[in-house]
Amino acid sequence: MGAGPVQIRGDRLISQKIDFSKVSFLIVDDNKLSIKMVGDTLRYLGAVDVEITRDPEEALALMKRQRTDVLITEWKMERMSGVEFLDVIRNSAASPDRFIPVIMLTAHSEEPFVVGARDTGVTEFLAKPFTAKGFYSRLVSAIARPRNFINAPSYFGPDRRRKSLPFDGDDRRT
Amino acid sequence: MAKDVQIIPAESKLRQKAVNSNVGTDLEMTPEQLAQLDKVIRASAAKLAADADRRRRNEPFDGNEKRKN
Repeated sequence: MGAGPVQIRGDRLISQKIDFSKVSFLIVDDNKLSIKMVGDTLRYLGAVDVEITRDPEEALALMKRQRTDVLITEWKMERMSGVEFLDVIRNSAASPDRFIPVIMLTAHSEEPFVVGARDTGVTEFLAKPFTAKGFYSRLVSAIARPRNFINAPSYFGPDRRRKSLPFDGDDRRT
Repeated sequence: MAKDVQIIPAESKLRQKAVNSNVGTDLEMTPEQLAQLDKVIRASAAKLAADADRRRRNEPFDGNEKRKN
């Protein structure tokens, strides 16, 4: 897939770039500070299509009306939690796009929250307050390093295995 | 692998649309670029706090005056 940051062209190393002006973002959050920080950061990076809504229901309607490439949401929202919203995106028949990359921001970085978001199909998870490095690396993963999707009876979402580790145990399959 | 598990290959449309070697931000930012981005994030938070503070100062006080002379 060529997802590395550098390509070799002739005898030159060409670094790969993300043209954020080609990516449409939807921020679904009811926290003013978070909205402003994420929105300003995306615009600084060159994004021009940044929609914002505080209401997850409105977000679904927006996604049906117009193309959205990346969804950025927050775990804690009043009308619907970020994980409930993510569950609708990944598992509801009414979902406008079950495969959309979803970056979840939250002040709750404890394990149950991370595992809960992962098992509901989050693409990337980022604890607040976030740093430039943390936020940018999540954007790069979501946009430039797409993962396979798993469709199983108990899970629908990006492959939760990030590393391909060799198995050195006994083969007990028949 | 269980028979009822399906692996769907990664969607590459977004990557094809946005990733290139000419325009945009490097996939791996330099420490200087990251420091600049951190400044943007901090400035954004500071501006919001300043705006909120200004609004609060301009709001008329509608409680009871309890200062002592």
